[in-house]
Amino acid sequence: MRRIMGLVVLVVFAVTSLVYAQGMPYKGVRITVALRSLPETDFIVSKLAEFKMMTGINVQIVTYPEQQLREREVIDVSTGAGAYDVLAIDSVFIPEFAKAGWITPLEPYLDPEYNVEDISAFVRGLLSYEGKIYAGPVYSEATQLMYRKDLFEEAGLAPPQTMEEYEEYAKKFTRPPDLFGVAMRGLRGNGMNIYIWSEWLWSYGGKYFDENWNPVFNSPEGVLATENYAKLLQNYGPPGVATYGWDDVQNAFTSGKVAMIIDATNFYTRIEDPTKSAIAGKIGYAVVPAGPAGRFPGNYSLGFAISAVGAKTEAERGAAAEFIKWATSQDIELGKALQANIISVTRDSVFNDPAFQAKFGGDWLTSTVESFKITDPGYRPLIEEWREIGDRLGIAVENVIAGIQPVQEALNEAALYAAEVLMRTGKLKK
Amino acid sequence: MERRTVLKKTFAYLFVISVLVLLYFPVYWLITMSLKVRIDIMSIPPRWFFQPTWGNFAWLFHHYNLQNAVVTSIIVALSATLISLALGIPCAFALARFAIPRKKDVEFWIATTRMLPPVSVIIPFYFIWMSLRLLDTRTSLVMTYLVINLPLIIWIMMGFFRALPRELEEAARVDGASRWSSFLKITLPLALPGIGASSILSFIFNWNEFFFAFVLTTTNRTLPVEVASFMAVGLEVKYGEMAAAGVLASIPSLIFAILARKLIVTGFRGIAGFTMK
Amino acid sequence: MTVRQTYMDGKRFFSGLSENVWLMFLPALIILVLVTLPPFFYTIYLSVHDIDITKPYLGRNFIGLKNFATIFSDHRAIGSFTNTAILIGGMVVVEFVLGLLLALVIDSFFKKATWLVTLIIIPMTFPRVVIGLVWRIMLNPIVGVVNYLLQPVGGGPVDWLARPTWAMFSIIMVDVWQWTPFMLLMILAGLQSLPKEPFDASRVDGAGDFHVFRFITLPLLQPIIVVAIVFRLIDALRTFDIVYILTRGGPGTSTETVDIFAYYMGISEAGRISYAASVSLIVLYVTIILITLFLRFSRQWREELY
Repeated sequence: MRRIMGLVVLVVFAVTSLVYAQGMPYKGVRITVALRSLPETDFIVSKLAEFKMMTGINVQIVTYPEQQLREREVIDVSTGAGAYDVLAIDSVFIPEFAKAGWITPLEPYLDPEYNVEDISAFVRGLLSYEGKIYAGPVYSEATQLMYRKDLFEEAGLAPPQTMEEYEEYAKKFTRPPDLFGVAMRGLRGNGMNIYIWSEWLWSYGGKYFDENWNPVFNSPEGVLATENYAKLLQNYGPPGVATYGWDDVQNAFTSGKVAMIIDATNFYTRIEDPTKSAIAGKIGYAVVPAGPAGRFPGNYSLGFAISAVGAKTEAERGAAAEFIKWATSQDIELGKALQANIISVTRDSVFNDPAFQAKFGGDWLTSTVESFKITDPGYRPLIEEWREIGDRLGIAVENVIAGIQPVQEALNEAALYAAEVLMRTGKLKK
Repeated sequence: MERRTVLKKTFAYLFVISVLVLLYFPVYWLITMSLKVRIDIMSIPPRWFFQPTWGNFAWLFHHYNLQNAVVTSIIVALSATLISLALGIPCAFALARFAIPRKKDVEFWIATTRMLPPVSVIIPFYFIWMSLRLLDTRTSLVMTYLVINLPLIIWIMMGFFRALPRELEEAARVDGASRWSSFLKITLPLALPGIGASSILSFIFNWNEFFFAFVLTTTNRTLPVEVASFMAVGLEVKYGEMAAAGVLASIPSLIFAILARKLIVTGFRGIAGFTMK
Repeated sequence: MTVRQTYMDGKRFFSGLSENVWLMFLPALIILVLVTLPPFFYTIYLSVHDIDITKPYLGRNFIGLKNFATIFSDHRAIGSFTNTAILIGGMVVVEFVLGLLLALVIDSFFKKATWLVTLIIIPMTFPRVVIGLVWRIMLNPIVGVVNYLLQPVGGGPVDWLARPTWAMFSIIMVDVWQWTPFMLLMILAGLQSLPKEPFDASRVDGAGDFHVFRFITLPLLQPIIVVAIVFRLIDALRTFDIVYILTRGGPGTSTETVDIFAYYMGISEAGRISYAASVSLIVLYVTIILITLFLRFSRQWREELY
């Protein structure tokens, strides 16, 4: 006991003396960050030397591809291995990680300088669980309509404002094999087809759960929404669209074979790059079309959170928080946009920056800002059971698009599964 | 009769040529993809003639610690193969030559270890390596790969040894040689083709293994894991870069296969020889 | 006592004289036991509990054999077993037929061309991940080269990976592409180590090609065929990477193999590691039973051939 006390005193003394000595409370602390390689994170990594100079913290980066990042993190924290101090987490999984106690709230570490209010409201919503903010955003996006301006002008059309118009124009532009009306994600997954499909669910007046957590996405509205989504892709989508991920949507669009897509606002930089896109300069941007219940652009954010399993000591947690605050600060955000042409803006101040507006003006900016404003963080339910439910739903929707299963049956099966999951966790009473 | 032979020969040639074309078209596609810029990769009709670029390869060496992955892959694949050979060959010899209690059961059990579904053992493996503080080390990968290699090597070599005549060993034993020395000096050289075949097979398995390497390592990643990570880098799938990495990843086992082609063929002939006895 | 007796006398092992034999035999066995048994028992432990790694707050409850019972009422699980059977069956049969045909052709017309064999086995050495990615791009329905090349032959654009039957076909095709050479290698090796006499005798009798193949080559070749098929069967069971990269089990769940299903259930889609463990234990048992049956059946087959 005495030895431990001695140790504590020693540590406290060492830490405080460091604070007073250099103003670098976490000098020499090593932290490991698990992330996925994005232009955003690449930019942050390229500035790490500055961070080290400012704080004395050593940062080690481990990179994973999109689908594998979450799996690796889950294995790491659930087995208690704790190799990472900072986890990059998709916004939809924040509740899962928070509920399991794998990440700690970021709130206690935030300071006025960080200006958390500047982070777009929906992003703050996405990264919070039970009212507490758990992560700092590295990346955020909404969904929007992207269309071939040249084709629309030729046909004398304005971008579609309603779901009916969207379907009508899709039909008009479909002349296989050279051109298809639409391309959207068909591939199963809570972040794949369900990311876009949810817009249809909400637009047609459907919802995920009722107030008692009964899954109701198999209601008549949900069925109609799914039928329409599947119909669009089956009739006016390119072949293979039932298994399209976002990359396939992007490829089909940039190859010039598709007239309209609904996908992430961040496609902008790739689809406007002439070395990557055959349609650069020919693209128009607009807010997603409205259904009977309104417009529902989707949303997503990637955040950095402190691993409660990896960052075991207060020093590690503090250093991790320092890193997150720095990596998602206003300066870095603006730097990303202006120096590296990264437009996954997470802070309102960047949108309002004159230099940013000069660089990325036009209909992309107006449509993106508007989409950010109207999008709802609950677009995909922010619950810890989301992944299982969303993935199972993704299978159902893909089955419908591929013509494997009738709509009602597919959705019923997914709803049954969702109910089972919610009962296991006790949300849904038997 | 003469005409029929000609006809048969023509068919045989056509068959073999079409097989070769089908086999090598994807290889050709992989190589050209690694030399194309993105817009050329994605264009239809395909650009058969294009301005080749080294950009994809250059990107690899700038953006990724690919050298590290190459080194890890080589070390892991080689040491797993060598250790399995060192352990497996004597074991196979013992099983082939001596009366070991419950031999049939032991042999069958060894074969079943190779049937363990990787997905079911991956979490246990993760726990075990973690508690031994060996997670994310080359050692843990090598140990894991032993499970894939040992049964293969033992089974192939067992057959080989059974096919070899015992008389030579017996003669050596009568002359006073120990079991080990008769094994090392007489039997082993005769079994060389079999050793060649089984070591090449296990090297190829190790070099190409994806699932265990993917889950068990974070910083010590092998080449296939690095290649797969190109599936989604940033917001685009880097096809060209991926193809370039694929070309690089294929070279070592390719060289191995070409250098050892004689061994492979005779080795397989040996396997065939024993099975058909 | 003669040397031969020493070889044969099992009791000698325990009498201290033969520690050399143990020294040869045990290290490999000990390593195998150490590396395979703990995970195996842990899997059994998992399978009789209800553990969700993503929901630590639900605890670890012992539920006996309930997981196994659930499997039989789970459409998706059953489907994954059927898919696996179709895939493996398709792969091994096509690879065997093609490999046999190729081996016969090479053996009769290209006996001296060793370079040909080398050329054919090279694709086998490519990392499966790479193979999967290349084919995925080539099979892309609109920007892929396969559909482009099929156009003039009258093939409309085929949805290679987005229609259940085509997706299954594509996976089998890619595996056949990579693993037929293995079959070829085994069978060719078999052909080349056949004794000459029966063939010369039949030639004298004036037997036709097919007759020779059916009544002489096939029976002689049967054991190596069995070994080749067992090898491929065991390996085809772990066709994880190709499926994962080509279709990820889709469209829907129509190409979901047991491995992919267990992976989704246990790690990727849900955290139900216990359920995944039970599924893979069933795979293990079914594999062992099937292979035992196959070996028994092949012995019968051999007797029928003669």
